[in-house]
Amino acid sequence: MTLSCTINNKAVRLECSPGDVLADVLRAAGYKEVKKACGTGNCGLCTILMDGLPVASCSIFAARAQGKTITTIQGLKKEATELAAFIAAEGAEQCGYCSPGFALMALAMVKEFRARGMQNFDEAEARHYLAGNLCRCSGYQGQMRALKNYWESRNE
Amino acid sequence: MEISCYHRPRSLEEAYDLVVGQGAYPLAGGAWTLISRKNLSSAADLSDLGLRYIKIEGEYIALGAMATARDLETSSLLAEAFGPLFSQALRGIAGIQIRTIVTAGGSVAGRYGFSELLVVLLALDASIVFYKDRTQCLASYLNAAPGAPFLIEKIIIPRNAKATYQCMRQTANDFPILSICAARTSAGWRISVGARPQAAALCPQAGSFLNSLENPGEDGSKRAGLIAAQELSFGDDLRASAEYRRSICPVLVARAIRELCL
Ligand SMILES: Cc1cc2nc3c(=O)[nH]c(=O)nc-3n(C[C@H](O)[C@H](O)[C@H](O)COP(=O)(O)OP(=O)(O)OC[C@H]3O[C@@H](n4cnc5c(N)ncnc54)[C@H](O)[C@@H]3O)c2cc1C
Ligand code: FES
Ligand code: FES
Repeated sequence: MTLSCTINNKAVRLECSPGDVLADVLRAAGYKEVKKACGTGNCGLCTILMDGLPVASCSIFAARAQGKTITTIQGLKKEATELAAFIAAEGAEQCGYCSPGFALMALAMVKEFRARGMQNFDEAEARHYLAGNLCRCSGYQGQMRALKNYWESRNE
Repeated sequence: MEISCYHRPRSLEEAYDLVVGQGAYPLAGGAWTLISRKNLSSAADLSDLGLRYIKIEGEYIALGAMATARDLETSSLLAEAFGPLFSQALRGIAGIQIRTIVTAGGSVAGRYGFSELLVVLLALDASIVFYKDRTQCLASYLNAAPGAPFLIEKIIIPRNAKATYQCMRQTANDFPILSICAARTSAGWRISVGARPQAAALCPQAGSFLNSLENPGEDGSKRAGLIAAQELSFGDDLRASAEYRRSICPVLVARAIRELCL
């Protein structure tokens, strides 16, 4: 089957079979920034945005992308590069395999928190929001510091 | 996964014909299907049926079968009616990126033992609306053996109940070891317990005991918890033993009742 959707602001057509998962189809189409590890919805590495919402692309059929707007981390290059500086400054990344999914989720979180009118960075809420993104190298303390600093830099 | 014949019906009538008439597998969020099935000979994708909604229908709140766990968790309508109940109960399901996929209809149809949603819906005395056929209360659906194919259109919840949720889990987003919902409905108290590890079940004796009290207070809450633990069966799995579940049940039930009476 052929799917028509928008990926990172470009209209594209993707070839897939009805049983394919979206992560595999995206990677086969060259979107290698979409990583895949557990393949069961537990690690968050394959996170993409679908119509603005974070979705585990390993746990959704590719057919669901029909007519949707998809964003991978490449579609948020500018924001992700800014965030990456804060992550690096806190040593919150080592192998980097979790980074595309984590950064996408963190940017979605910041956007949602702002929309809710949150003033001060709420670490407990952030931990909840990011609970589906595992990092097996650096742990989560550094990530929280980085996110707090990133949040505060946006308030300046 | 292989799906030999994939259908994307545009109307409930068409979906009903595929699922009930021709035996196609109803595909909702598909997250659990992807984990648990290898191949499907025929599947009916339910995503174009307009079933992703949460709305008021008279005395009820209706959850369309395709409303996602994240929709329920963040719904202002549900928060207005039931406070933080849905948000507290559902935020433990995996990560947000899964909760944006998995659906109310899939959780109910699957009768999963670990389901937080079933525990909450059972305490709130929800009913399932099967397209075309019938409306059945969730309690009797859970007690009945799985039968002929069906298509869930929506789940309806009476709006006048108040309820609280308690659970125990090993890590924030693991399956629960035990989950509890205590509700005060127009017909009286309803206590449900899930992840026993079998599917959610009501505790009618604990409910009757609470109905006999004007205000449960500390002692009444504890006593109701003990009654609940005695009237239910519990089992072992890799997360906990039956004995452990039976011993934490009274504590969680009493907490849920106390919180509701505050
Ligand atoms: C990593 C991970 C962790 C999870 N953790 C939890 C957890 O902690 N707690 C929890 O409760 N759940 C958890 N889940 C399960 C999740 O809630 C399930 O995916 C969900 O319950 C099933 O919903 P679905 O939309 O994915 O259903 P699907 O996989 O699409 O369907 C499930 C079943 O329901 C049937 N079905 C679906 N919709 C209908 C309908 N409208 N009419 C008739 N039959 C229908 C399907 O045919 C299938 O048999 C987890 C899932 C994953 C992937
Ligand atoms: S690869 Fe998708 S959640 Fe792990
Ligand atoms: S930096 Fe290696 S998994 Fe996160």
